Amino acid sequence: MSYIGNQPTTVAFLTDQFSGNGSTTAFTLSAAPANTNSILVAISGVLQDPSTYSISGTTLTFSPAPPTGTGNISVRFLGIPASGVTTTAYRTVTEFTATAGQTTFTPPSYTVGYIDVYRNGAKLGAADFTATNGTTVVLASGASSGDLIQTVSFYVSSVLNAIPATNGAVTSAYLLDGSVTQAKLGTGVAGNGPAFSASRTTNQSFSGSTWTKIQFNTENWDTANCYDPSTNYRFTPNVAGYYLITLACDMVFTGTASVAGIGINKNGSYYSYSPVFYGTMNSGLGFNGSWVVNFNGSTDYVEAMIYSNGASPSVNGTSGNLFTGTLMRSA
Amino acid sequence: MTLHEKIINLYPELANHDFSRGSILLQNDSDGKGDYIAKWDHPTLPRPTDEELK
Repeated sequence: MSYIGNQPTTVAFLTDQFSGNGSTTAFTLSAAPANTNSILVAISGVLQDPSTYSISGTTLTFSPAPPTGTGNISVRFLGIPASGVTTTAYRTVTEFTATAGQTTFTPPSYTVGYIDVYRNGAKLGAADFTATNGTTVVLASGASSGDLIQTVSFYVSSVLNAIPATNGAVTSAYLLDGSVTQAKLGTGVAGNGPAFSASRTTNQSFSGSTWTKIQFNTENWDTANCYDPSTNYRFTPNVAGYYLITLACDMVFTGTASVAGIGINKNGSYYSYSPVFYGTMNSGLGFNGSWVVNFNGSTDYVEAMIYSNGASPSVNGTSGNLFTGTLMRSA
Repeated sequence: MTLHEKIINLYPELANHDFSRGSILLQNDSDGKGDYIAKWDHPTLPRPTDEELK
């Protein structure tokens, strides 16, 4: 097929398809058409008059509801309003040789307000022409035969469905899962998952030879409000993943002890009791322990535990005891 | 008398390591309910009854 101008190209028209059930009247389109004339709607293959449906944003509403049928409602978009990036697409210079009295000239489509008009090289003022419809220029007074009328116009177009390069325009929905690499992160960027630190500033006595929960009742920080410092003294992170849990504790007792240690319980039961020292210990001992624990981010929790078989053992509240936890890796 | 002392009185043969990280774990959840047997997996000695621990 012969043609004049640029070679035509074709694209597939966007089409949505829905299934009617005899009662549903509203259907959500994949794009918002300009109006009811911007789409072709067919039900069971029968083209519908635009007066039989309405458009509000992306909602297509029928009255009455289309009948039951699998994929029996077809919506073909004739055009989608442009959104996104506005750009000055191109500048066009067009020259005309006027005939006697000619007032109307037709340059390529232009954006209103983006056109200058020259007559024999002299730029015309705004009062000397009218260019308000994007397609024609009308001189206020007719040209003389042979006048050179030149238009310099710009056509400002939009890039369909482009994302503006403005702060906040790109959301995570536009990123491919797993596509953000370490190299794309700024220097010094760290995770911001839950982290806490709690301590105890007074002694806590406990029964000998009994694993006892330490009541760390003073929060140093608790970024996600996941540590309970007043009732259960436990860390219940609200983000699933692997956490580094640390416990530093000093215990004191009367006389000597032969077994003493610290550990953590997960969900109320033994998780790890270590370090535990065996041998003769006088008056007290300090411990440090660390563990990596997997949490489900909802119900899993850990508690700090202490043990000694010395007489009248207690947590030493004046030695800088610490119970901490921080997310190392998400699930 | 603590729970540990009651158990030792009942079973003097139990050693310290049985309680620290062995087959018997006594626990106190610091909730005001006191000590209790959280785990009893001793291979030969039966778990004491509540009556024996009174």
